[in-house]
Amino acid sequence: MTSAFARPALAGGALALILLVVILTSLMIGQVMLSPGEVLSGLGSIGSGSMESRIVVDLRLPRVLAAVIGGAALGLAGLLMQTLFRNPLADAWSLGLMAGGQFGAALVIVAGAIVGPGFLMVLTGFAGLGVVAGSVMGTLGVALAMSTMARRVGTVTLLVLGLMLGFLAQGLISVLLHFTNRSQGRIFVAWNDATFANVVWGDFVTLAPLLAVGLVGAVVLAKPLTALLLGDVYAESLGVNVPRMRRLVLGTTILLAAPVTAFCGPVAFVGLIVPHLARGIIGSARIGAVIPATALIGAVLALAADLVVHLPWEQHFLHLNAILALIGAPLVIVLLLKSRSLRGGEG
Amino acid sequence: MLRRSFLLAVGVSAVSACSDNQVGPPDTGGADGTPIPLKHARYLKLERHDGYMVARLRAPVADQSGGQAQAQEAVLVLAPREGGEPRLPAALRDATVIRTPVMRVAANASSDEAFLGQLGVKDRLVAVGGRVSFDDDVRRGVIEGRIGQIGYNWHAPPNLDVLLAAQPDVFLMRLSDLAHTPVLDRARRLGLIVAPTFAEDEPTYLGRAEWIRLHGLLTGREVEAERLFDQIEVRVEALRTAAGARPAVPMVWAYPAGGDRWVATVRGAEQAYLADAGGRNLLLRPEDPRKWSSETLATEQILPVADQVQVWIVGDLHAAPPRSTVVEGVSPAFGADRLFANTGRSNLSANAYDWYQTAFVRPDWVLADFVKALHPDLVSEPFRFLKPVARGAYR
Repeated sequence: MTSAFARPALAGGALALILLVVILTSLMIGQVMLSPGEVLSGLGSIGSGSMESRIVVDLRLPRVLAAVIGGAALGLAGLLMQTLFRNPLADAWSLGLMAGGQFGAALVIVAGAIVGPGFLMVLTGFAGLGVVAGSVMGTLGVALAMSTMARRVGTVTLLVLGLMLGFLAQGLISVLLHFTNRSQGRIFVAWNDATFANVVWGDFVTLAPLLAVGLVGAVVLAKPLTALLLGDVYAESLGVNVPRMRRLVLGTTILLAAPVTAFCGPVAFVGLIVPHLARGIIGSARIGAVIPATALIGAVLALAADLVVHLPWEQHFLHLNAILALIGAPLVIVLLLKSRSLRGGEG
Repeated sequence: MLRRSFLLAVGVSAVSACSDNQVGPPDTGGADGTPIPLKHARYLKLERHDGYMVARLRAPVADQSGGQAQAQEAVLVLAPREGGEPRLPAALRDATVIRTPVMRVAANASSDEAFLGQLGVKDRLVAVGGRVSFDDDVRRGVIEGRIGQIGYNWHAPPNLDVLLAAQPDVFLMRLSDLAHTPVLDRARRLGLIVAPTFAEDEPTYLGRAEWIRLHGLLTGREVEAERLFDQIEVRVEALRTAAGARPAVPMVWAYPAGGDRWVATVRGAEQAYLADAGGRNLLLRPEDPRKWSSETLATEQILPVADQVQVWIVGDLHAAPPRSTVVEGVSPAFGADRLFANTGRSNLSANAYDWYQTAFVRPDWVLADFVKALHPDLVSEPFRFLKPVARGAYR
């Protein structure tokens, strides 16, 4: 076995082990502390109605699973976008996709307040899923807009455009919420305060297939994406249909990011920082090699942040995005300072 | 010219946590006067002087970031409109003089609107917080521009331009945030007569309602205010006695707040409603005046008691329906449809909620609702603020 394969395998094994430890810790720690034995007892007595079973199986396990697959999906979405746009700061957040999702959710809530709850049912076919549907549509709209603009502008301009779209969406959200009542506004706030705890077992019926297709898409696209890293001309010389691949990558990214945003709210920073950590650990930018590490690091990071949120704090609850920002923002700052291209013509 | 001066002692002594010996109306300061006995209000003191009344207000006010509370106080001299300037002793020289009865009132708290409404003088309102009053007449007045909008206390400091244009005889300013005190000073310098109100800060529900005595003095409805409060007190006592004779019903007052979080009533005046109505709050926590009456709890903190809950106050205008139904499946309250929301007097299309308005003024109505929810046979009148809700409904 050569070292080029040994390092990813070793890293993958270590990350999987860390993930297992964080999963077990997350199942044990919360406002109610459980021993490993109680966790196992809870897992082994599904449907028994015991307190351990309810806490572990009904409350914590869906949350933990959502953090694992959500973190992995957001990490992969970030990897795809950074590769597609050849921009190390591209992700669903910085390119305005999450802002689009927020705007869509707010729009549905205001429409629901004006037209009535029946509107939401017509829109989604599922009672109570209006916010989810609105978020998906908003994410999709911004993704298409960014995709169109990406052909015409450079890297930094694209990021600024994403930032502006984000500001525009925030402004529109503020105005929209002004025209709804406090009661409806609270529904948006609850969704917008990103958390994996919103996910229940029934949601995986929707989440899992979409994310699975997205994951398969990411793996299938790995090789042509690696070629794209060296430029469009080089990729085309290798037989890659670049315009078609761009559409496929964008579609895959939406499949990975939109369902997580829809069910868990706008989870920030995971897609931005995880690909960098993965490349650093693997020591390669080859997409095929980076994908497993990206998924595992995304899962570990999201779950660890969720664990911090759910530590038994007295009185105050921390916010998931606050924890992720504490980790993510310094990393982005370091990245900006270290990257000559991102500093914009310096040196 | 009236001499007005608002004494705002931004507590040199930071009142950590409003301990009993530190917060409460200031001493009379040497001015002679006959105290008007108040049984429940801690932050209000009234005295009858020769030719005028004195109201002493003092309460701890915190900033909304949760910083340490500081004592805010004011001394008001209520002098009859007829007659000359009251001759005040030196100790009252810095007090705010208000000529009564006031005929033009501005208020930035919904509760003050309700106090005036209960006294039958809501037509004297010339400026209120905004256009979400539960009272249709007041709301219409705001929408039609007859009543000014100065901003609600929980949202922003008052708009001084509107206040100046409204020319109120008195501006009842609820200080819900320490950060708003500079605006109060500025309003005084601009010539406005400001009376800060702390009714909503009172630690007991009867203490809150007893502030109607001040509103009565201000508006010339002293007798009506006294009579109404006496009625409230008698009714509350009757309800307490009746409910106290029954076995306490295990219950919780907690609404879902997004994710795996619930906002639960655990102490304070709201908890007192539950206890006085014959309920046993399963999420009860020790009294602590520094803390809010409600706390945010995780679902897994509520789950261990959920199987004992017979009655659940589960609905609130701020509720966000939970995705998980694990609690619903466990609690007998959900199984027996003994679920209630505090949105009985709400006007969703107008974004108006009487829970934040008249409920402060009529604790007898609120307590009657809780007693009816817990012991249905003890109260025959219909629900007002509470309403039964179906499983899955949270408003």
